[in-house]
Amino acid sequence: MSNRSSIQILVGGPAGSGNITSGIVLARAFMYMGYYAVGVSEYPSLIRGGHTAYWVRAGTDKIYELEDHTDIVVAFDEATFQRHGWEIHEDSIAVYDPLVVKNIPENVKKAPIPFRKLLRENGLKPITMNMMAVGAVSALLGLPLDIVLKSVEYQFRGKEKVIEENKKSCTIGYEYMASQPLNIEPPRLDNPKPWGKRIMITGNEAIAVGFVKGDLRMYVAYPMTPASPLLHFMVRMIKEKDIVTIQAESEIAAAQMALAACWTGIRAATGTSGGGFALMNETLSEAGMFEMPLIIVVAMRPGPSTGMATHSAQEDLLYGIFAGHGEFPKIVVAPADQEDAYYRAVELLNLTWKWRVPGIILEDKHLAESIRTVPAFREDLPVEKGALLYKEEAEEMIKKGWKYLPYKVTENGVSPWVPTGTEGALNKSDSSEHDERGIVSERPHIANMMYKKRMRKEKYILEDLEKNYEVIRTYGHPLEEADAVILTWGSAAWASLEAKKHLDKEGLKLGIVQVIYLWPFPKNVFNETMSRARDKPVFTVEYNLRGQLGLLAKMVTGFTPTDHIGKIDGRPFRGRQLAQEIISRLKR
Amino acid sequence: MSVYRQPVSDTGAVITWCPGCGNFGILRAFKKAINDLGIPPWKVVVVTGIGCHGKFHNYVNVNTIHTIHGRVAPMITAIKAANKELTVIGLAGDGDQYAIGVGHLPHIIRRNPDVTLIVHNNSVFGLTTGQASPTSEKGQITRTTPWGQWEERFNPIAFVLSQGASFVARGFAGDVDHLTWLIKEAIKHKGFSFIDVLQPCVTFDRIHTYTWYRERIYKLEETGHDPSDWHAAMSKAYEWGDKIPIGIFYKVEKPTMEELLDPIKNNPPLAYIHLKPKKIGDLLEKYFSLTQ
Repeated sequence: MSNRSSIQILVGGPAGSGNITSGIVLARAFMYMGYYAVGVSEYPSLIRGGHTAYWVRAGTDKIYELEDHTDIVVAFDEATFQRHGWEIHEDSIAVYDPLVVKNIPENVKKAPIPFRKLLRENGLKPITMNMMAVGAVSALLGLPLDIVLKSVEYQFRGKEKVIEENKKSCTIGYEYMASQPLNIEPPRLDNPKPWGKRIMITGNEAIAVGFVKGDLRMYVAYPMTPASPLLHFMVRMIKEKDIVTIQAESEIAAAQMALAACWTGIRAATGTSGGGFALMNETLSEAGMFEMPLIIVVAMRPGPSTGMATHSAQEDLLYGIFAGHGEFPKIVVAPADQEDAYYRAVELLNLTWKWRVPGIILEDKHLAESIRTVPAFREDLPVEKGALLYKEEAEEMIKKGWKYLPYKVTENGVSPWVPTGTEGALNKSDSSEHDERGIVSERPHIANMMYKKRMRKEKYILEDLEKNYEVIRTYGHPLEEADAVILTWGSAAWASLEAKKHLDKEGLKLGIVQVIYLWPFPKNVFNETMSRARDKPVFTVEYNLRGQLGLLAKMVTGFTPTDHIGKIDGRPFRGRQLAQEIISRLKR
Repeated sequence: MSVYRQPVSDTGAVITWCPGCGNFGILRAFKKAINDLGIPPWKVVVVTGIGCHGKFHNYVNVNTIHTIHGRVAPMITAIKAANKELTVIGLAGDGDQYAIGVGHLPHIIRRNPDVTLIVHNNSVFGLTTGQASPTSEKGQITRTTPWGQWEERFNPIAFVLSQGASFVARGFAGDVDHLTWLIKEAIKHKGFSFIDVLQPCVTFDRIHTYTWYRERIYKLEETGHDPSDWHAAMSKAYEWGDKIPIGIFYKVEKPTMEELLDPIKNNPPLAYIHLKPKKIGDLLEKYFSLTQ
């Protein structure tokens, strides 16, 4: 038996086969045992049939990304081998029903299990086949059955009959595989290293939990992949956390409702993907004019237009930053991973309220929908009202003679504001240029004054971000000692971190720079960081073709990356793939 | 030759509507209605769209939003959701509500927030200098229909009635007293109230003049019309041309958004509750497989 620090499992099958649930149950079992795990889906835009795939990679150390080598392949259809043959090697083990899946690649080790026959014999519903597969894989890998069953139980929590049937199916799969005299040596994971209280969560869910923590009171959205799961979670919060969640009739309505809610003095947000975000742009610009902390979550998928609806991309960095007509400040953050998504969501709520500007959370489908085991989120986070005065404080001040002006010109551009309904105060917001009272004005000196008041904030926001927040993260070897440096953002950093492990073995030192706050672009911290990488080859790694982060850095700072390594087929890099790409670029 | 001196509004902003514009009548009726009902200005919200009506907010001392074209309905819905204590009134134009923003109409009706939507219906796009609107007459000559409008006229009353709006009325900008009464009834009505206001555009519409309307208009309440009879309301909605009914077409009590959504129903106005970080530990346990 070969001991390993990580194992990768692929479960492939038609949509509706439950293969994604198989992967999630396995990932959770690994987490219960004390391993790190990630789970990644790849599915077409349809409901039944087609081919979907789910990967789980688990290990003793932090897992950043999938690898290009899959150890166990569960195939509910033959397409699994056709589509993913490139990651299946001679020591990969195939788990399949020999009566259904007949064309197995010759070089693969075989662990057949007659799913349908076992289901029939035991009077189990066909839908439980995916848990039978979980049992079979667990037996192959020598996972303790009781922990796997605990994961099954959690998956179907609240549904006693379903739990019983699925546990039975899982146990039958486990016992069948354990009793087979297989002439193969499945890999074994090294013993886990305990790492404290942990959870398993997607980027969308982490943002949603951040919204709950940050006392968001209204979420309005229109369904669009891959942002819909955020809406699905938030509707549950209607009953559980007193958050008004509304499925709007369009992205335009969603953004308008969220903006109007902000205007009354509550925290509100919306979420969408590229096409929906385009529809929201007019409202985003209006939020800029109103100086309102509207938050938009943009879950990116490949474009242009409908593109590939269920896949991942990072094509909207420049679009996200410059979205909305006219000039106005906004804050754009790209969380580093699922754990970071929670903390940055809470932080962005505070920041946008402090500065009275709209904010955008840029995530891609890979972050939005992939699961990761992360340390349990902390509860003790500050929630700050920023420029808002509570109704009672404002009324007290007004009684003492304070004159409320919703757009009062101040040194840093931020005007204090009050909840609509405050006695003696009127909130007037105009999408047209306006004076300090919020009354329309096209007079040149007013336009000058108000335009500059709004734009002045950008300088102060940048100062605040660079001084008080982690705007850029560096990983890997110190940049001064690196042979190559990756400049990246969002989920593209994950493959970079895995690539580093491979390059270490080749004796190549990789440094990684991940920009978290993309706008206002943290130019001083960026310059300081990149000055440590002087004369080193710097590659941008992003899921786009232009190298948009490189273009942005160049625009703001003049810095020019050596080359761009992009991937635009909707599927994220695997660690070794990227490592090889870096090596080939270094040889050029 | 006399020079027109533009009047100054309550806020000090100069009123820039054309002399004789139907908007003046709506402004008078609105202010009178709010005064009569005795609602303090800080508890009133007016949201306007884009167009000639969309200057209204500058002329009234209440909370106001001047939003983008066509989006008054989603805004007033959300404002009521966030602060159920406010009297929320949306003002839209016919281009605003029946062209670019018509997609929001069925949905505000389905949600039934306790708000009022008043459409300043002058049958043309005024502020963009006189193009055809959805309520232009068939055959009407406008800047975009030099050979006469070929599209059929949109029927706002029938449209909102068909979707089950809980208060449906039509007013006339030339009859301020009647319009004041309608606005008061609409505000007092619990649920979504809709008033289509016939408003002459004295500059760009040669057909729908004050005289044209006065010759045709009659009041439903003077005819014994029963506003609880949806079928009668629907047949009145199709009356247009020689006879044009104004008044309350239909009125019904239905549960409101504020009664149907727990976070609104079970709490004081959300906008008045102080910010407080919420506990998330229970969510981690319930949804995210928290380990011990």
